[in-house]
Amino acid sequence: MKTRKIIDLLDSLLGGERTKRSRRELAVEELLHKLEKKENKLLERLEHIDTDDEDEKRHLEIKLQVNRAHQDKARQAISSWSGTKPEAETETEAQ
Amino acid sequence: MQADATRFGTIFKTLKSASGSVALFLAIPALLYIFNASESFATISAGVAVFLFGMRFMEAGFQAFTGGMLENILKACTTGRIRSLLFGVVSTTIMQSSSLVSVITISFLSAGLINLAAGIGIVFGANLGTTTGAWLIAAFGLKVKISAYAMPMLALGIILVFLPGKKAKGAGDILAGLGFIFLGIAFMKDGFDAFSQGFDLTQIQVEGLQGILLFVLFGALATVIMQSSHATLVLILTALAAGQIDFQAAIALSIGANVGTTITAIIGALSANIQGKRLAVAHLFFNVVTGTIIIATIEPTLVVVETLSDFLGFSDTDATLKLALFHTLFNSLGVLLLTPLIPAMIPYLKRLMPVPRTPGLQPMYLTAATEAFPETLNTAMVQELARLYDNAIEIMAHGLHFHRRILFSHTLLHDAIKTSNDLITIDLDDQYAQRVESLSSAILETITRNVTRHGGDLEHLRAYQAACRSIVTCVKETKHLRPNLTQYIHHKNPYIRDKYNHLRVSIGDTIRAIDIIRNEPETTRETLGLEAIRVKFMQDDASASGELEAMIRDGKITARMGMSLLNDLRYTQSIIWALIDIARILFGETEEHHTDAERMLNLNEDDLSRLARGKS
Repeated sequence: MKTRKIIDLLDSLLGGERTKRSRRELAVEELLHKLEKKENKLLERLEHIDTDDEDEKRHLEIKLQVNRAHQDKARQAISSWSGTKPEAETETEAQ
Repeated sequence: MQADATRFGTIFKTLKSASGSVALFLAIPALLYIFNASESFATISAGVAVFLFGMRFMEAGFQAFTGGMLENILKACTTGRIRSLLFGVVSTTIMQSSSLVSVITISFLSAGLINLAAGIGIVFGANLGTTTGAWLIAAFGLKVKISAYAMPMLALGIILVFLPGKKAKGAGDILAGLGFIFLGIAFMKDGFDAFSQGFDLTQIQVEGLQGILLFVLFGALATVIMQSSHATLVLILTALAAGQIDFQAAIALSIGANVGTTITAIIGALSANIQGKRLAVAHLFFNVVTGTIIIATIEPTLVVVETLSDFLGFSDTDATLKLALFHTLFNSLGVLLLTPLIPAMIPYLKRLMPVPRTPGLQPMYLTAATEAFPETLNTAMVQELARLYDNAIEIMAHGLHFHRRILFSHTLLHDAIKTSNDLITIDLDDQYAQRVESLSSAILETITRNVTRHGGDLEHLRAYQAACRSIVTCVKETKHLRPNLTQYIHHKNPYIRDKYNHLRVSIGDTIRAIDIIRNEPETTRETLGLEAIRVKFMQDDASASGELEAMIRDGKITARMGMSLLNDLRYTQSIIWALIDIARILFGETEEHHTDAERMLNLNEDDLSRLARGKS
């Protein structure tokens, strides 16, 4: 959060040159970070779960699957931006 | 205006409770003085008290069985006027309490499980059902020493009360209640026997129509005070048996008791919804019309009672049996005359008591000032929508028979409903009109007005519009789901019971998950994880997996149950999907690039299906 605010502040001082795309990219990175943290928490809970509690175990496993699916999507998006597409092009697209 | 009305209501309630306290304060010393002066009056009063105590026990006992069995019988037995009428007769005969039957009828009417015509039929039938009590008391209660039966009933009842299990406790309450009722009758009988030796009630009788009307008033007052026409009837029968009143006075008193019980129902219906009030008025109409006819034709009525008594072989001195016969004739006349008029009564009752048009919940945050700027409008809009959401959740929780303390507790819902699973009475139409309709309309109106003004913020406004519509959808779909849910969550068939409990737990878990996200700090908050609820629901979907078909094929559930479940699965899915959409808009990221990012990572239907199929 703090990093984001500092970057936003700097951006406004520099006349708002940062593109909408890069802001979104940052947001996706931040989201990925949250998802990774959540994944660790889920794994920790799965490790300590009562083996008899099948329903809770299944519920956590689904959460983990969904979390990883979101992480995959986030990584795909980040790699597509950083790799192939030029910034100006994407900027136009985003607008 | 609304604030004034609320203030007036509060003052009225305070005055009402204060006047009640003053009346009680004055009544207690007066009663103590009378008890001291007359031992027989004290015995009669004790009899009434024990009788009412027994009634309360019995009502509590029957309530233990209202979680399924009674509801299923009610639904099956109220299709058609005659069935409803018979149901009223039979249920009141079994329970010996028309009040309990009326209360249950009002609650089912409010729940939309039965219609007003069926409700009126049951209440008319209940009037006829109370006559069986008069026969039992007249034939046995005053001749046999019933206190001898009371003692073993009480002893057995109390043993059952201490046994584990809701049903055993309920049976114990019923048995102990009957014991107390018998004991109360015995006390009243003893009291009147002693009373008759020292005082003669016949001396204060007034002749003619005035006298009849006076006793009608006495009967009504006694019933209102004792909150039981049954107790009044027992008093009349015992007073008649002791020769304290003559037969004509007893007739007038019993008419009064019937009118009095409707006043009790009207007082009870004050807190009920409009349907309950209409039912109470129909009940009053029944007794006033029948009572007026009987009073107007008192002489021929007495001749009919005498002739029928002779025909049935009652002895001339057996006035109590004659009174039971009169009571039956009185209520039968009402049923015969007024049952065919039920269809005509309904539009009249609806005109007499239309659904109240109240202003409903109004916006608190959306004002002209907040509308002035897009930023303030957005903040106010989220707050207003969150307020609408909270109201909707409360209505939905009660609609799904969840107490909020259970819904928002830390216990797993599946476990929590095993210990707290009672049915909650709520008028969803009324609640929707009061707390959702007007506020959601005002929000949508504000959005429409501002779409043109703040065109640049169109995306946010469209999202709020969608959230508002989804909240409305949730309440409406809950209304569709509720009738079958009410019927099946306590059903004796364990398969359908589990499926329906699973449906409401799925919605409850979603509401809970959203509540957790809402209370998380922004640094860790993300609503993407809610997709797991969708995946789990898709995996559990009995219709998609073929489980539903198999259950019907194996005879575990009927085809009708299967059809209901299939429809209700779709309602549940619609509610869960809408709740998640609402959560994303209201409690997710607020900044545009963050909402964009979340939208990019959203799982589409194919992703969800793929994950659901990945079930191990």
